[in-house]
Amino acid sequence: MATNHIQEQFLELVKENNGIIHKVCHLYCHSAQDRQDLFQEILMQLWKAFPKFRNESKISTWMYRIALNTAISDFRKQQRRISTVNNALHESAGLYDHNHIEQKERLVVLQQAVNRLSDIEKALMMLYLEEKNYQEMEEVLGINQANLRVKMNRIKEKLRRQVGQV
Amino acid sequence: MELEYLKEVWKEAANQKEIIVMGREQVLEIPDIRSQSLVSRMRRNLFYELLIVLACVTAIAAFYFISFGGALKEVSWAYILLAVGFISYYYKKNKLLKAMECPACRVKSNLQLQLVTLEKYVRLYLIAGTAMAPVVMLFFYVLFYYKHIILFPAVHAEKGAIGFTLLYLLFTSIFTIIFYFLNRWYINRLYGRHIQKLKSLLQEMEE
Repeated sequence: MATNHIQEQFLELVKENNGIIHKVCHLYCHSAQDRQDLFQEILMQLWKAFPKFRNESKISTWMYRIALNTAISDFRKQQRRISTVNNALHESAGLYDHNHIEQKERLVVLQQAVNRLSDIEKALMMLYLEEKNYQEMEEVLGINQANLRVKMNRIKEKLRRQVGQV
Repeated sequence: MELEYLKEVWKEAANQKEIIVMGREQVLEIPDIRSQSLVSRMRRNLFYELLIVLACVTAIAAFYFISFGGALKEVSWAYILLAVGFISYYYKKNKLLKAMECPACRVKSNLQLQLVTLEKYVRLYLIAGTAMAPVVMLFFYVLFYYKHIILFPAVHAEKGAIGFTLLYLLFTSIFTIIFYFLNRWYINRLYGRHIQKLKSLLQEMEE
């Protein structure tokens, strides 16, 4: 009975926040199969950790931690995983019509630049794109805010340089 | 500004990308599915290793108890002792694996925890693996020498007990050193890359 109650709560949590898991899967996996596997693995880790969740942090912070920990520290498919904000971006590129060719080209360049980021930089960039503040980023990643600012500037600089080269 | 532009694109893309379909039943089946994470697979493999060792030891111990009219029952006891040692080794390794991950912790703490625990695990693996060599050699020494089943009768006759023992010790030392390097190579092949990856991730986070 208690287990059923926990399962229902978990189901509700997944329903409300599955966007977080999807984004992490898209960021770190290239193929649909890999994304599916990572999605399932993250769900399993969430399920294992769920009974210990004590509302000490925001549910989204807790989910980002688990999802990123699963994606970054598991080396099972590190050879096959390719940085892919490009998946999401590539699909969005299709949204632009012929009047936005310049925009499209710029997007492709950005995709390539994002592909060159490290796993940690990708995590940081995702949190930035999700409009998390530095306090929340620190809560998820464990990097102090001063260091986060420096890293964010480096990422911006890196992207600017790479986009400028093309 | 590229990142501001990227933010806009990300927002748009978030609504467009494929959704992995997970129904209610599938989510509720999650507890029954086997995790494919590194630690879970290591724990499963360790458990299978334990089962295989116990099955082999049981068969060998039973064989020596029954065969040769019980003349070699010391072999059975030695194997049982070995199994007890392996169980304690299994317990320590499993305990380390359980402590190896904390997915709900901050990413940096989790990586640090994983690195420290994995290094301990590897050290235990190396020490236990290397210690196996002299233990096995000692076992054969007792078996062959004191049971008067002379492995090297010519050497024994010529050099006597001390000569034989010294020669055996020399051979054991060489065997142990070779075994140590083989173990180190094998462990590095198994976990070296992952340890390096964890180190470089942490270094990047601290830079």
